[in-house]
Amino acid sequence: MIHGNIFRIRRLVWLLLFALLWTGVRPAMGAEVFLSATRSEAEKIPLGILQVVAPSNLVQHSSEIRSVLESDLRRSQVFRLIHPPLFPELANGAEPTADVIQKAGKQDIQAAVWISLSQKGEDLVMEGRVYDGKSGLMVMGKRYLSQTQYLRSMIHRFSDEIVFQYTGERGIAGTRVVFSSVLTGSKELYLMDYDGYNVRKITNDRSLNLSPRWSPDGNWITYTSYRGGSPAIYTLDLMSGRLWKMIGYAGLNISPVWSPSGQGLAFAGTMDGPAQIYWVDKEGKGLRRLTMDQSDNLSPAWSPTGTEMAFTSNRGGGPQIYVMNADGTNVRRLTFNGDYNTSPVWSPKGTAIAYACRIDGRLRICAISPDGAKTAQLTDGPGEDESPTWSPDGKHLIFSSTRMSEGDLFMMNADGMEMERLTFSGGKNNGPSWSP
Amino acid sequence: MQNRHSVYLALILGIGTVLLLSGCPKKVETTKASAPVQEEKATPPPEAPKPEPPPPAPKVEETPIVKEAVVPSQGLTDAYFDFDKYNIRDDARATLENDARWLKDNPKVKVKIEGHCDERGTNEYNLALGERRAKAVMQFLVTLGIEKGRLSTISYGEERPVCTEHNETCYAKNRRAHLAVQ
Repeated sequence: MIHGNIFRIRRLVWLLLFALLWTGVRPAMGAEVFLSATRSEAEKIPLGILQVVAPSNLVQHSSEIRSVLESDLRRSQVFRLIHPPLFPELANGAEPTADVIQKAGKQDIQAAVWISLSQKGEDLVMEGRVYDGKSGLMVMGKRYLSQTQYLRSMIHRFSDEIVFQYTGERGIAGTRVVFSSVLTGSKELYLMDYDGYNVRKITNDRSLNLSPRWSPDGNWITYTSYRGGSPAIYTLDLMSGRLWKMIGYAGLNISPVWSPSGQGLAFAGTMDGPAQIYWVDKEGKGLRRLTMDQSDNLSPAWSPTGTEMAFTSNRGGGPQIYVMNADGTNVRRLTFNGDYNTSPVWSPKGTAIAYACRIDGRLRICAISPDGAKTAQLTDGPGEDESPTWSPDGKHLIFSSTRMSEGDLFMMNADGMEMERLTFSGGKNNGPSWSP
Repeated sequence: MQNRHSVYLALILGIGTVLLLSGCPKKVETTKASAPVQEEKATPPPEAPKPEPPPPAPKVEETPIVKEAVVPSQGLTDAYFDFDKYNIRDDARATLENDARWLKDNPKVKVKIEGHCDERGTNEYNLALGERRAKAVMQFLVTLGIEKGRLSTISYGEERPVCTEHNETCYAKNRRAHLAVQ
């Protein structure tokens, strides 16, 4: 496969560029007021990976386990990574005793991770344990068994388990991102792991497929496709591969987005002339028009409770972000800075709306509180940034940018810090949507 | 976490007590791992391992860049627009008057008006803008006497540029309504 090779090369480049790229953009003053990472460096839990034990035939995996897990845990914004010395007691794969753990605890390691890898038939077994540095007791242990090719996913699951153990909220390492790319000449949809690995194509109709969004249960991707000639809204079941047309009125049928309850979706259509926002149920029936003025209204974004919607409208001239109740009442303008603000996405916790803002002629990622009181510019630098999408924990944004290429995906903390490049495919990647 | 801890501690203490009560002469070892390693029945782990059915890997026949078949629309010229605008400019007015003349000379021809945008701006908004441009051109041609039934519209937003460099010369070429003969 053509893109298979490209992605393999991409991984090498990824490693090389990694260090260069997570120098964050300085967020605008005030960003930290409502967007800062949940914990300051000092508040993060000091965590150290004591040892990754692997028999000689599997030893090539141990550095991968370490680096994937460290990246996952760093991105969780919960842990501060500490690199412990190699304790002689752990040589030859010995399991850690309470004494060793407490020794690590004295070096400020509050969460001590120990991993052992073994083989069971054709499969890999990864056993991960977390110990409390103070008491020396085991806090959590999990054993994962799968084919070698799914090692990264085992590591992601272990990372999410560690995050859950310390926060009560599942981590995001097991999440995925859908996006569109013209890698093969036509604009197709692709899926990738949240860290940019494991990219695979999910449409293959050599048409134009864009604006993919997840159903709230994570099973379906709903998007706009020109596969039938004109832009209509289709849904793809990721498990079965079943694809069906949901909405195909005259003119445009674009920017679909599922309500948080999954009972229906909002989208923009031009069946009545200008683009208006409509609602249909999950069967694509029960059409209801929500916006009523004669400008263009599109890109609806639900509040996490499903009671309100942010959207783009040019009723005041250029495009701006507006908010309305889910039934279309109580419309009010949210953004007033600049003459071009589009693509709103409501944060999962409801406290911020990220959007694409045009500043000094370039598109950037901005955020605003739903009451409009606080705003922040999150990105800067060369190129144009657009299509922000929130991580399910609300601590990160992924967006597309031309800052280093024709278009790739980048991840950053919700306050604009610690930017990382995720894709290197050279395929004009854009329109990302983060899975639940 | 605290809860789990206390549960485990309680368990260990409980077991210890039972063993002590049963008169076991040896000291109970409680220093070992306080929580059991739980076997995850993940063969393979549910999420990622499920091979996604939609990406049909065997279909390797990727054809690079399939250009849209260029419809010969000799005699028809594209109309151009300003950034984030869909009003018919003076130069476009002249262009479209020529196009209307050609359409009158070729009364059997039907035309699909494609609205396009430059790459600046966001994709979804540009789809709506492209639609506006296509409809503005359709309306203009209708006022020049072309029957509405011969005209249809579609918007491609910024998805089908004719020029791919990132400069105003290119952007200006891409902000267009293209008249494609059906």
